[in-house]
Amino acid sequence: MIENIPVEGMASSGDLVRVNALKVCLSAELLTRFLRGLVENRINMNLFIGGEAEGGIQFTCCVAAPDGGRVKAMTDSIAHLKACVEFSAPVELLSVFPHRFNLKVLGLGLMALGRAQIPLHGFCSSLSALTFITDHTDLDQASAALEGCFGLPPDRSRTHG
Amino acid sequence: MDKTLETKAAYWEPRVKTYGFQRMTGLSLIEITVRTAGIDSLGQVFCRLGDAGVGFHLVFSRPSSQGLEVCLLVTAQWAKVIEEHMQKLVEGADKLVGRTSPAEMVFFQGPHFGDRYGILDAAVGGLAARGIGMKATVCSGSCIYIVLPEGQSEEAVLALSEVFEIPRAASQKRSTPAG
Repeated sequence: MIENIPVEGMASSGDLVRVNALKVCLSAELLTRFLRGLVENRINMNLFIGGEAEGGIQFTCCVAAPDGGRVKAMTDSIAHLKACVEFSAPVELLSVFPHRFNLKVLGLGLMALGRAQIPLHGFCSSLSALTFITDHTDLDQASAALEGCFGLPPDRSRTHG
Repeated sequence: MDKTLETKAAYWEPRVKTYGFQRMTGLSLIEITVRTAGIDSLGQVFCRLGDAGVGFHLVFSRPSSQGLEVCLLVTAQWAKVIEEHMQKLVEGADKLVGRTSPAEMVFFQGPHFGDRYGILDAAVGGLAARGIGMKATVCSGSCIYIVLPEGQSEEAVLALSEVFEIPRAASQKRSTPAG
């Protein structure tokens, strides 16, 4: 049984499209072209996690589902970018807050999701929230798993800022 | 003619405002690759570290061909403790691969950052113009985090200051973690 610690709330993002450049590394120039393409199409990213890897840059990012088609059209129009970027099944961002910069909050979340065999496509912290990326279709199971290890207040209507 | 009246509004400014840059030095970036089957075990290690009082400044993870690549940005003095705990996981299906490197971080927020396009593009462009390479970048909530090689954060703040507008009173805050 997983230990339970109190948090103030949990929030979900709604249906998102995940865009990945993970199997092939992008050059800095291609990353710039990708980001510039988003600007030209006025598309906001809900989340971006990128880092250097051998031979270039890898990233995963999420955009609102209605913007997915325009991102695909943009990346398809740039030959080198089209070859590097993949679009995955719809995902959801599930955030727990506050994490208080405590590794135990992350550890409990990973244990809960791992034991429930929930697909985990990444995670990251912000100033307050710890956000997990999971499949849209697994949102209910993922929420239930996290609720099992975090003590949520009775009023769960709060969302993080 | 379209009979539907619609009002669209967007927040725009010629030079993106921020609330100032936060700079952190004396950090270690710990990168761990863990198989999907090892997520539970990794969680247990993090719980033990949390119980021991080990905190983090930033955590992030993205998929890799072997599972998940997990990155922890911590105060340098904690790196050894974390590595020792990780060693206990180096067996069987949970096998972990890791490396640790010195790092610094700059992070910042601004009005409506979570809901606007173009912020990361401006930041990456500003750093590239000065030839500053990044180890990692995370945009989450309304905050932009830039993880840099050791000794690069001061130059990064100067580069970002040329792209973004910063409050006059506090152009940057420096933080050296006390542990």
